[in-house]
Amino acid sequence: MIAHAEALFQPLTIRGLTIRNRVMSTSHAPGYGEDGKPKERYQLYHAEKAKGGIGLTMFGGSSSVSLDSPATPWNQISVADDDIIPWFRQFSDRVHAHGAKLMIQLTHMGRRTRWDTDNWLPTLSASPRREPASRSIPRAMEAEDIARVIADFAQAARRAKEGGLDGCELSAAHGHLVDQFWSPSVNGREDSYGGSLENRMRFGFEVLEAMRQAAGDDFVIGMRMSGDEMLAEGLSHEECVAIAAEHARRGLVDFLNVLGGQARDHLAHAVILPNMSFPVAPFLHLASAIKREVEVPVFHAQRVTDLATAARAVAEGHVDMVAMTRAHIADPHLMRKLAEGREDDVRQCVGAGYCIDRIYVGGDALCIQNAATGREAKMPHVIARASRSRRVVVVGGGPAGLEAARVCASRGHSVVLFEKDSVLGGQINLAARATWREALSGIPRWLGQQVRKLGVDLRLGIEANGEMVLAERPDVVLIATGGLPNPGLFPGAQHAVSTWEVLSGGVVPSGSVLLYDGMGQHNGASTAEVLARMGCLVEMATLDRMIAEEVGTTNQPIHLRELSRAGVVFSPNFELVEIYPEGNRLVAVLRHTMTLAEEERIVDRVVVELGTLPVDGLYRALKGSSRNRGVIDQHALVAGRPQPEEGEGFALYRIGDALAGRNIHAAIYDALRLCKDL
Amino acid sequence: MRVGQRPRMRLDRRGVEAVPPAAMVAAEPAPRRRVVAEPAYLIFAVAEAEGGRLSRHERQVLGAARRLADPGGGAVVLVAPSLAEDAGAAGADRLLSLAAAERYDLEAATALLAAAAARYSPRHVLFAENEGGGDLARRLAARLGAPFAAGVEALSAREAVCPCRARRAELRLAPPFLLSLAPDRAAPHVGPAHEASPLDPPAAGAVRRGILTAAPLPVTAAEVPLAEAGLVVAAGNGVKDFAGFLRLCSALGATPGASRVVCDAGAMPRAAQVGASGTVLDALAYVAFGIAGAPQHLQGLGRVEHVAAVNTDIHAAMIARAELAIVQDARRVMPALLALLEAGG
Amino acid sequence: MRAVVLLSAGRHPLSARPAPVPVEMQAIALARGLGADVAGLHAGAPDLAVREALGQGMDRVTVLRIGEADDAVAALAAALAADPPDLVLAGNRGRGGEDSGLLPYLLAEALGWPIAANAVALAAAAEGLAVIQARARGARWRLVVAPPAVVTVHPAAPPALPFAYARARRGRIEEQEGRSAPLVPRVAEERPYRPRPRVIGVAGGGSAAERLRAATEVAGGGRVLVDPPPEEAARELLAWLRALGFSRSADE
Repeated sequence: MIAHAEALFQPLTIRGLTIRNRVMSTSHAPGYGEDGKPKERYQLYHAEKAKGGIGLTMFGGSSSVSLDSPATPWNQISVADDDIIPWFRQFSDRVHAHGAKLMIQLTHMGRRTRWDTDNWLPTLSASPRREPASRSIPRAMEAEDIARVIADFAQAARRAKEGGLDGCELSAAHGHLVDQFWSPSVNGREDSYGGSLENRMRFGFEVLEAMRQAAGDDFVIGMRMSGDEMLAEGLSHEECVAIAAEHARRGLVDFLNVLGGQARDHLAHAVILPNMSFPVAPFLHLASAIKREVEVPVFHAQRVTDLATAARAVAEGHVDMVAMTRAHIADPHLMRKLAEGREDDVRQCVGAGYCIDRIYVGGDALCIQNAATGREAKMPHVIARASRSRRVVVVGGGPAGLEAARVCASRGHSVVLFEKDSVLGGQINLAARATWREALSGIPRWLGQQVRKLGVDLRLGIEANGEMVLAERPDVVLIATGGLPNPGLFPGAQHAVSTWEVLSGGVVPSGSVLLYDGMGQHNGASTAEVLARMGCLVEMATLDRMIAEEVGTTNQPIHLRELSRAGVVFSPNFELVEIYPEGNRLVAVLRHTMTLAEEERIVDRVVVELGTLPVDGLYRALKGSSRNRGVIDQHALVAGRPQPEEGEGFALYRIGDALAGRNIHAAIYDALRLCKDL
Repeated sequence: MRVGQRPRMRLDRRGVEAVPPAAMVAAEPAPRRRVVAEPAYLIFAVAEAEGGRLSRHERQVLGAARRLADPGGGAVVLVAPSLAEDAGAAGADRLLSLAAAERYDLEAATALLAAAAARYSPRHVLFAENEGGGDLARRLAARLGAPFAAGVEALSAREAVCPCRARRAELRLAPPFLLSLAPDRAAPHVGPAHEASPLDPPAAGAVRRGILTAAPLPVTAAEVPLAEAGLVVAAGNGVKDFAGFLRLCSALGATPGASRVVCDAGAMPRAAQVGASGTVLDALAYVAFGIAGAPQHLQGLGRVEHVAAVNTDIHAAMIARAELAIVQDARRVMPALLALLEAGG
Repeated sequence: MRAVVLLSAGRHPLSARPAPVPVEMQAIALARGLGADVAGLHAGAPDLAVREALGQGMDRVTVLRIGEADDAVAALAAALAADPPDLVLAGNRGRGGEDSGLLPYLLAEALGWPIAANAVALAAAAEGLAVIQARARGARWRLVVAPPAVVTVHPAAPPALPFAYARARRGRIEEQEGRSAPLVPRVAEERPYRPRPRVIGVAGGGSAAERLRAATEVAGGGRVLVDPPPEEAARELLAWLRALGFSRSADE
C-alpha cells in the first residue's frame, strides 16, 4: 500500500457532518446539465464516484443563483427557483445510498458569462470592466442589485438544504462575482463596497451571512477561493491569506477550498486547470499556507493525480480534504481500489485535459481514456462477464486494440492480440515522445498492465495476416490496425516528411523547416516544438486562423507559450499547395486562405501533419469471409445493444483509426461500446 | 510550375541564426535593491552562516524577520559572524558582522550579541531553533533576563505561537524580545533583494569565561548518523560498484544510504538503510541512484524536501517523487559525476 | 565527582500521562558513564514521572517542594548553591511543561556557572570536563568547561539505561521545602496544540509572473531528463546540489 494511505481513510467532521474519508471531487461543470437541472446522466456520473468509495463529491460548478447569471453557457445548474429542489432530493438520495456526501457550488458569475443566451440580461460586476475570457462588459451593480443578488444567494442556499444536500460552497474563485468584488483588477468602486480590502470583502460577507441565515445552523457552507491570483493587478498571496483568515475568524465559512491562479484570460485557464506539462500539485503550497493561518478545514484540488501525492498532502497536514477531481473522471473507483489494496488497478489521470477542453467549447466532459465516464447509463465501469465465452482476435495494440482486448477478456472471452511492433501503445508512443506530452504513455501502460493481468495472449512483434487470424478459429475479429500518416494530395507531396518521421527519430531535420499543419491538433504543434528544440529554424503554417486551433482551452496556451519561447514563426491562414525542389533545397508554395495570394518559402525541410489514413489491408482481406462483411450495426451500437448475430462464421469489426483517423477517446470508445456486448 | 500572374513573394530564413530557447528569455532588468533608509525600528536575525552562506533555516529566519519588519516600516539586520554573500537576496537591510576573536567562542559571541542589542535596541531578535542558534538564543535570554519564545511555529507581527506541554498545547503571545524559529515554519524572503548595508559592530563587552576551549571535531560525512545527515546519497538495486559509490559519496561530502534490497544483500551495512524499517531521514537533500522507490523506502524520505533520482525506469515511484529526475543508468551517471568532481567540477 | 541531574515533570505526548523525559534519562546514563555519584533534583510537586527516574540509574532524588506560581530556577539555584556538585545535567528541552529549554541557562546564570549545551558524550579532561556537543547536521564540537558547570543533553546522546524495577523500588525520594520565589507570570494564552503544516514551496513575494513561474515551471516541480548523456546528467546533478548549497568544493 502507498505511504500514508491511512491518512486518507480518516473521517473528517465539519459542523456535525462526517465525511468518511479525505478524498473528494470538486464542483465542476461537466456539461451534463439539462434545462438547468442535474438529471439522470449528471446524477449517475456522481453516484458512480460514491459507489467507488469517494468521501465527498461536489457537483454543479458555477451553479447560478440569479437570472442574470444564466446556466446555459456551460449547461450548468440553475438554483434560481424552487423547481430545482426535487432534482436535488433525487440526486442526494442517489449519492447517499452509497455512503458519500454531496454538496453543490453556488455562484453568481458576474461578468464571467454571456448576456446573449437564455435570459438576455446584461452581465453584472463591481465595475464595468471587461473580462477577456468571457468578452462581456458588465454593468456596475447598484445598491438594489447588490441586495437582490444577496437575497438570491440566500434562497439558493435554502434550496440546497431543502434538497437534502450536505452543504454548499460559495464560489469566490475563477473570477466570479464575489472575487470580482475582492480583486482590485475588477473593483473600482468608490462606495462602501470598494477601496480598502475590508470594503471589497463586504459583498461576500453579506452573501455568506444571508446564506447562513437562510440555511440555518445545521448546514455546511464553505467557500472556494484562490490562494494567489498570480496576476500583476490582481490579488496577491498575502491578500488571499488575509481574506481567508478574516472569513475563518468571523465564522462565515465551515471550510475553505483553495486553488491557485485565476481564469480571466487564455493562459490563466491553462494554469488554473493544470495539464500534464505542470508538476504534480503545483499549488499545494498555497493551500498549505492558508491552512497554517486558519482553523477551518482546507480543501484543495489542482493536478493531484496520484494517491501517493494525495496521501502525503493530507498526512503532512497541508490540507484536510484532497480533491482528485480529474483523477475520478479517469477512475471513479479510486478509493475502493485503494481500500481493497488494488491501487495498481487505478486508471490514473494523465492530465490530458480532454475532459475540460470539451466543456469550454460547449461539449460534455469525457475522459480521454475512460469512455464509461459520463455515460454511466449505457457504459459500464466494471465489465460484466458474458454468458458464453468466445474466441476473440484483436489485431493492433494501440488504444483501440488494447481497450478491446481488456473489455473482451473481462467478459470472459479468450483473447489473442497481435501487434506488429515490439511494444504496446500504437500512435500514443509517438505522441508521448513530444516534450511535455510524455504522460500520455500512462494510457497504454495501464491498458497493457490490465490485459496482461487478464491473461490476454499477447503476440508482440508479429504482423498478423488473414491466415494467422483464421488459424485462431475466431468468433470475433477486431481490426484495430490504426492509421498511417496522410501524405496529402498536393503536387510535390513526396518531397515532404511526416511528423511521425520526426517524432520517431527516423528523420533528423536541421536548418530551416516549414511545418505545415493541416489538422490543428496536438501533433503539429508538438512536432514544431520538438524541431525548434533540435535547433531548427521553424515556421509553422496552418490553414486555420491560428496555431493549434483544434487544441482545447487548457492545452493550447501551453503550446503557444512553448512555441513562442522556442522562436517558432507562426503563419496562420496559409494553405500548402505545392512543394518543388530547387538545388539542394525545397520551395514550399503557400496560398493565403483569405487573399488567395501565393508566397514561397525556401527551406531545408518540409514537414507535414495531415492526420492519418486507415491501415485496412487485413480488414479487406477478411471482409469477404466474415459473416457480417465487416459491417457494424450503427443503431445497435449507439443504443448500446449487442450487434446482430446472423450468419455463419466469424464477425469482423473495425475500431479506432483503422476505421477513420480520429483521436484516443474515439478509439477507446469504439472498443468499449462494441465489446461490452460481445 | 507557376500559378499566379505576378511573381510570388519569396522568404528564405536561412542565415537567421536559430536562437536557443535559453537566450529567448528577455533580459532581466538590472536588479533594483530595496532600501529602507530610515527604519522605524530594527529586527535582528541571528545566523551562524556556516561557510559564509545562509542555511535554508536561516533564510527562513530572515523571512520571518521581514514579516515583523515590513508592516511597521522596520529594517532587518542580519547578525552573523561573517558577512553572508546572499544576505540582501535573503531580505537583509543591514549587516552586522559580529566575529568573536575566537571563532568557536560561544561566551564571547553572547557578549557581543548583548552589546549589539544594547547599542542598536532592536525590537526583536530572531534565532534559528537548532543546536547552534537555539543555544545562543538561550544564552542571551539568560544573560539579559529577556523574555524568550522557543521554537516558534507561527509568527506574525501580532502573535507568536510556540508548542508546550509535550506538544499537546501551544502558547500564543505577543512576540517577545527574543524568539527562536522552528525549521520550515516561515517562508524565506523572495522578490527584490534588500540593501544589506553594513552597520558598525559594537565594542566587545566583558566576557565571563567558563568554557575553556571549543573546537569542531573532524566529522566525515560517512560517520554522520543517517538521521542527522544534511545530504544523503543512496544506492539501490541499480548500483553494482559499491566501492565507487562510496568514493562518490565522499567526494560529494554526502552520507551514504541504501535501499533495503542492498542492505539485505549485505552490500551496505544495515545502518545505511533508508526507509520506514530503517532510518527516516531529515536531510536537506537526497539523491537516489538506481532506487525504484518502494513505499516503505519513500516513507524513509520523511521531511526531505529536495530529492533527485537517477533510474532507468521513467515510471519508477522514485522518479515521480524527485524534483530532479534523470532517466538514465545509475552505473553510467555515477562515474561521470565522480569524474566531474575530480576534475574540479 | 558529584553530578546532579535535573528532572522535570514529563508528560507523554500522546497519553499526557506522567512519563520521564527521555533526554533526562539519557543524562543519567551520561553521568554514570563518567563514574559520577548521581542524584536527581526536581523542583515542584512530587511527580510520578520523577519517581520513574529511580529505575533508570538513579538512587536518590530530591524534590524541592514549591508552589505552582513559584520560580523553579530560584529554588534549584538556592539548593545547588548550598551544596554545589561538580556537574548539573539537564535535558535540552523538557516535555510536559513550557518546554522552552531555557531553565538550565537561567540556572547557570543564577549560579554564575558556565553552561554547555547539547552534549552527546562527556569525559574527564585535564583542565576540566570535556563535552562533545551536537551541532546542526550531524557536526560535533568539543568543549572543555571548568566545573562546576551546567550541561544540557541532546537526544543524539547514547540511550538511557534499561529500567530496573528493583532499583526503582530501592531508590529514595527526599522531599524538602524549596525556596519560594514568585514567578513573573507570562502574558500568554494557552490553547490545545494545532498542528500546522510546514512551509513547502514559497507562496508569496516577487512579481505575479515570478510566482507563477516558480510554482509551475522551475525545478522543484519534478523536472525529468530522459536519457541524457551521463556527462550531462552529472552536470545537472551537481548544479542541483550546488544550488542547495552542497559540494561547493571539497576544500571550502
